[in-house]
Amino acid sequence: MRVAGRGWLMLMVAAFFGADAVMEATCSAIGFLVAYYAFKAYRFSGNVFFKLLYLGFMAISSAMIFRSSLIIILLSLSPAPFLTFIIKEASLIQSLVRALGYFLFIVAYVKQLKASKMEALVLTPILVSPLIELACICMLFYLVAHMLMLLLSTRNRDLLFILSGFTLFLASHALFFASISYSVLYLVGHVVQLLGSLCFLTVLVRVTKAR
Amino acid sequence: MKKYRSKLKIMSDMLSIIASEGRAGPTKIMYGANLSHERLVRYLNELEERGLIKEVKVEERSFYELTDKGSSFLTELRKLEAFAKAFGVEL
Repeated sequence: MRVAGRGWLMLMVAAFFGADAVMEATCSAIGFLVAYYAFKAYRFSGNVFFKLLYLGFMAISSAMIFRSSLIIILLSLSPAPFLTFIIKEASLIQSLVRALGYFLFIVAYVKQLKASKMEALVLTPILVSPLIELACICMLFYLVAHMLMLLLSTRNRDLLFILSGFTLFLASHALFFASISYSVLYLVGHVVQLLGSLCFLTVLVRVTKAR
Repeated sequence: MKKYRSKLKIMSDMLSIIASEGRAGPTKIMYGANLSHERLVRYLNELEERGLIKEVKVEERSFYELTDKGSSFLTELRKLEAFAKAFGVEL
């Protein structure tokens, strides 16, 4: 009975990883197709945007096909040696390479913004660094998600103010980033940032009044 | 702010006009692609050298037609333009 249960579990694990590998291989094939088009566009136009797009999709798709092939090979071996260890390490490598791919996309769009004549005001390029703003957005997004989970589990009212503060900071950085194209958003971003600071001030006031 | 067209975009516009007319004269191409006479001559020469268009004479007047190579180039170019547009950029 126990042996039969173990066999069933192994089958479930194999089905899980098999489905994972097949879906990822499909995504990878689509990614390679997009990369091929991006490469063609680069050869036609010589625009660096498409070169970066090509490299980004190649990186992501290669990482996906590497991991899915590895899983398929491991599943075909019986018993698979170091199955969990290899899948864990392969997943880590895949995540890193995918992050690199997404970074290339960001660089492509930032370069494109600079190349186009969208920087209408001279001020915003001096005041805003697109890559740093994007990094801030990512970090604040994590903070907001974390605060939201905390709020849902504790239902503390002060946490709501902190969450609002970080959310408004996140919005302000998004506006700073967008100000590269529309300069007026830089000022709107500052108004939103001020509102975020007021949320933190509210918490401080509430804390000082606490008995 | 004035937006400048890339060389590829200008060529694409010229080829599109010729393709839509089947056969187009220089004046039609010049106005259709919004070009000066000097640029028109330069681009027409380049397109001809690349074998994308050919000059035909009808009753002593010059017209331009797409070659097979020009036709497939334009098809490919339109696909890539649509691809670039999907990513929010111009070819």
